[in-house]
Amino acid sequence: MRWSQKGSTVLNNLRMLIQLTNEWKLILLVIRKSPLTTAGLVIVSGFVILGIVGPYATLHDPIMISVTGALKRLHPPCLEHPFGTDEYGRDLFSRVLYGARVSLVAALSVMVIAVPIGVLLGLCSGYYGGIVDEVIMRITDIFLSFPGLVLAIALSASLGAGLTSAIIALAVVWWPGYVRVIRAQVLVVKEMLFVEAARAIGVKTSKILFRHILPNSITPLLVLITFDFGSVILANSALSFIGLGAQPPIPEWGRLIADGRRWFPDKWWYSFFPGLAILITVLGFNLLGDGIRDMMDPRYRRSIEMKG
Amino acid sequence: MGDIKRYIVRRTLSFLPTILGVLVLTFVISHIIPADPVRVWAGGYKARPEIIEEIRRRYHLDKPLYEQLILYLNDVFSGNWGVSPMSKRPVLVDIAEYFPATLELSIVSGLLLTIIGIPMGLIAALKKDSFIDHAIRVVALIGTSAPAFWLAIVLQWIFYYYLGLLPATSRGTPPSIRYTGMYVLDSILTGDVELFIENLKHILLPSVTLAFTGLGIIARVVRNTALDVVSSEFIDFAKARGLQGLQLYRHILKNSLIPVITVLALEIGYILSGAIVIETVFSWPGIGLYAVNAINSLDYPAIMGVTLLIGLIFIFINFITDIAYAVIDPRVRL
Repeated sequence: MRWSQKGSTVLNNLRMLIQLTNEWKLILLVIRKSPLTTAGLVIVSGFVILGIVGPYATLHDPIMISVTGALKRLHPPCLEHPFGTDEYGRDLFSRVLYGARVSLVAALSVMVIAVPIGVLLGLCSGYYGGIVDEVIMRITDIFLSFPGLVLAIALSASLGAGLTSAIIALAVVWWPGYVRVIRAQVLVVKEMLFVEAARAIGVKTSKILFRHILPNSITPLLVLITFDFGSVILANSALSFIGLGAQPPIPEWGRLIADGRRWFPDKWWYSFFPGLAILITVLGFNLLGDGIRDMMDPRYRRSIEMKG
Repeated sequence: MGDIKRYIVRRTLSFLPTILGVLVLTFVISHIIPADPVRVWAGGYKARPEIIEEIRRRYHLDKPLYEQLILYLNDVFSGNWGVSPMSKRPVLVDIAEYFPATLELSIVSGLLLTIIGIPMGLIAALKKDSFIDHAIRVVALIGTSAPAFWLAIVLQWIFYYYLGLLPATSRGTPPSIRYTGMYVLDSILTGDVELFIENLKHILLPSVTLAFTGLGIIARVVRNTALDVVSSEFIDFAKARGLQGLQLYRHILKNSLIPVITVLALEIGYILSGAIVIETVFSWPGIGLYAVNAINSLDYPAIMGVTLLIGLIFIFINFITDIAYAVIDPRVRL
């Protein structure tokens, strides 16, 4: 008895190991088959790591204005200042690095607020149907009747300029997308046999929603979150470009571009590098999102598994 | 065509609650969310006490909320969108002056987007998985990922400062007679070729910027739609029936239209919100420049006016799109 139990765990471990190597093989295959997805993954990981450690890794203080700095105001890019310096002699490379954290914090906060609201309303809307669905979807439609950025501008103007109000405004704009995606997924999954079976044996509704339906909606959710992370970074930088989001001396990327515009076109580096940082980061999220979508598409997955 | 008419009536009726909902949303944003609505409407902390009293009365901010809502709806429908503390003029008068510039910019961007985006998507579909397909995808993705306001600055640097080919700011010269308020169109109408070329040069950089940021979505949708339609069963069937050439293309095109129209309607939203941000960069005197100036001088009625206008335009476009669906696809009318 004891021996066979042990044997089965060994067998299980072995099976898991095989599965694991299969997963690894799959990941390697993806890297080989889709260099763009890999590039996206590298950019996104780089952005997250810089967002966490960036402010500690800078050689120069990104916010404080130093006495010696005044000697080097608006210095073009050189070895010591790869992105040049601003009008107070601050190192723009350090400021752009610090900006990664501002964007990361902003986008993460927006997601932490918007995704749970959207998911919860989407689950209810799709599962209960009827009047609940009708009310939730009508409200969602009203929010979607505005181009997102315009609504965010109006909201954060009402809340008063600042990073927090930009985050709240962007979260208010971004939740309806999740309602739509989750609702569509729930409508499919709730007709499946295992959900019916769970209902038949009397499993609680909340448990059906979160244990059975939500896990089966995770793929489109993941794809949307990846894309939205990029769009939120873009929208947040647009808000601070027009003077609404993070306020000085916080080095937000959009704000840096706006500040640099005063010295256009002679001091081109001032606006150029923060914008390049936005472009590369958002591109990374878009490439990764594309890749995840392709990978989760059963047709594609089967084709690489068969070749592997 | 009888059922089309019935469909339009039904759709109009179902759009009224959406318009009402949008107005309630702008009411909540403008009357409930600000910590001190009176001060916000009056133009911020600098407003003098007697002005604040006047504002309180003008926007009915001393009444209970439900009454404020009814008075707000009444004001919006009767064209009283408030008075801008900056220009001291009614917001709607300001908007009427600034709007043609944005309209012109949006139309030119939309045309560029369509003329470039649709062939790009078709080429990508035809050469699926080739180098060209990947290259188009990367170019389109860069457009989607780049901040429009930064792209604007980079293009200015290249084409104005470095190459000296195109003007970087302003709309050019207004033609002698004002027909539509759109300089490019008006200079054609007055028959002034030189002015037309000058104004076209002015609109080129801002419209290319806006078109480039929207290119990614339309190219992708056109590509995927074309691939789906070409490999679908009814095309096989049409081929089996012996259809060729133009007749076959008619089937392909008609069935590709709905996704393409959907994405074009969506793009108008992108172009309008992009215009808000980039008009400042090009000193383009449209509602975007007006709104950004309003944000920087705490001109709240102006900000809300522009928001409301864009919301209403967007609803109207969605309405037109829905009707276009019904005209193209009889199944929608059911």
